Amino acid sequence: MSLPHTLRASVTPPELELIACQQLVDIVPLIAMEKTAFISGAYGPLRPPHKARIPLWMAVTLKQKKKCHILAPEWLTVEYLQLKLTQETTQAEFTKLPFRFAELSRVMLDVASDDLQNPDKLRSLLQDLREARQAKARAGLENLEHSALGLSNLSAMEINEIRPFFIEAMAILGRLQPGA
Amino acid sequence: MTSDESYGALANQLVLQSKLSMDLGKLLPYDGPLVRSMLQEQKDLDRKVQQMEGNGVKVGHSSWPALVILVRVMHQNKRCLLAYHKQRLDLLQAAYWDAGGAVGHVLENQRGNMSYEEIRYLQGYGESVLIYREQVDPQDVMSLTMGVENPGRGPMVTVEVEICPGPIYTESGMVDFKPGRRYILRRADIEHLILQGYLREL
Amino acid sequence: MSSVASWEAEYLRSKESNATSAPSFSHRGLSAPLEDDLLIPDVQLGEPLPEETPLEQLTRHWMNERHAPDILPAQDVLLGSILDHIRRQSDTIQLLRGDPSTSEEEHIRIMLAQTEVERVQFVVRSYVRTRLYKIEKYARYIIANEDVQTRITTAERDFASRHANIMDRHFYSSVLQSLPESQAGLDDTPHFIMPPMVTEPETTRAVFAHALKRTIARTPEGKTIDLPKGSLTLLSYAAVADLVAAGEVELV
Repeated sequence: MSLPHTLRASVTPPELELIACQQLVDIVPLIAMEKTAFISGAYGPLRPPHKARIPLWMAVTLKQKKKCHILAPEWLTVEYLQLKLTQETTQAEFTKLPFRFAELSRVMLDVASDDLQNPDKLRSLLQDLREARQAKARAGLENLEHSALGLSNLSAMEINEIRPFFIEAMAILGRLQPGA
Repeated sequence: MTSDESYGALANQLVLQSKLSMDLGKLLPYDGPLVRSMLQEQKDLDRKVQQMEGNGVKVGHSSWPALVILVRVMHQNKRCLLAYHKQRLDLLQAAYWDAGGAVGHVLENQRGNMSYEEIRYLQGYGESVLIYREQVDPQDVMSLTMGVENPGRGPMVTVEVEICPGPIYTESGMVDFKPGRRYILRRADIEHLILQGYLREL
Repeated sequence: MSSVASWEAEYLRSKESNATSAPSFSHRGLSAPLEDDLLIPDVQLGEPLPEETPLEQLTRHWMNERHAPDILPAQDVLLGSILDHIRRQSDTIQLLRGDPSTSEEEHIRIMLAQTEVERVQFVVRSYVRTRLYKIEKYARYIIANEDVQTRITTAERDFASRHANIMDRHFYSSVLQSLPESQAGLDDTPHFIMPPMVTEPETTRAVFAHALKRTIARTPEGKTIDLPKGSLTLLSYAAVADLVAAGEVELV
């Protein structure tokens, strides 16, 4: 078949990462570059030391060649994530987080941890958030009884992780209650 | 000739082969003799059924349950035969795409396991994909047969040599691959070598 | 042509050739669907803007196609235009590569352009292969079903037809031609003996629907489900198939 097995029922984390890297981030460039036409749009000019806004994939490539610093987005700070974690553990609903926060934070921590404030603390907060939200998702699975389930504020990566279980559960429900 | 009690045993053997092949994730040798035995069994079953119907066996007749069983075994056999062949086709198609569309490469590795019809099928499949590609992307802009599993983070990739592919021309010049050595190269230049197993991505 | 002039020409060209693509730089930051929550963390998920770049559109169609159990309407115009764009960009890159006078800054620009070309190639390739996968899987169903045929390209339909042929030929030569006449067809098993082999898309399968605008889903049984803008809902694909095709809902 023209799609390999692993891709038939789901999307892979590297693919989610590819999509997430289309998003724009702020950088401080260390080289100059004229305004340039790329397929996804026109970026630049880069005029050190002025900030610029480019896609994350571009920032990553430049960063790997030590040609820029990546500026942390407002949500990737200890203060913000701590606040979110508190909300997450004190309310039943999922807190609002950027839809692709898992992929974005992973890429930035992998490639630009020296540009981030307290990367280890960030990693641990993100891990705590992940666990708190996973527990809620599991609870949601147990409460699956309607023909439609609202899942607002779930992130892309989380949806991908629960996907097989939820699809299976819906299929079983469908067989039990046709026309529900 | 199989006795009444053992009709269906051949089908079980075939199913076991399909299961084993799926568990191992690889193509096993085509079991021509088993397939032929099952096809013969089908003919025998059909003859028996015709005979019984000719003798007036129908609903209410004492031999009706026996007839129903025979018919059921026939359908089961056919289903198993088709499933066995279909499962093998799926594996061959997967091998085709894993080899980056190189039918010759797949044949080199699998010819001994394939039936004559399967070889024909693979060649037909390869031709069909080629026709499609020529219609949709004649200048090969998207590289249809390249990998879809690994978006990668950049144009470069680190590889180690598993099997020497010999000297290869790349964007940065001629590379004379030595076994066990590592190289950092443009993915686009050597992806096909990774797909075909000469190089291993790190 | 000097390298700077090459890029300039390409930039101007892409600006005029496609009015909805490559919006100006500062615009871009505000115009990414699902993404403006990067700027303002509390903004609701999914404030889609009317101007999606071609690549963003293709990405959405790609994900839709991956998640949908059925084949979605073909996007061959969009695909063709992106293929063109990739080719032109590749040509520019080749040209500049061959120029011995390029500076370090230029080298980096070329490398970035090449990186992007490979990213876009990947998305295009995966999108096309996803559709091909479904076409192979449902080949016999497609050639007998006019409704599906309206959603696929001619090349895809021809592929379906060739595929059904080589499959049929294979089963015939390997199995069917040696069976007694009464069993020689592919679909002649009565359903009370055995369920039919899977040949049709299972449209009741659940999907995760992200509403790009406020809309209403309708299940085949007639039940309506309200989908507020930006909401995420798990429900049967059949209830949102039309909405996905119309761009009101995307699958995530």
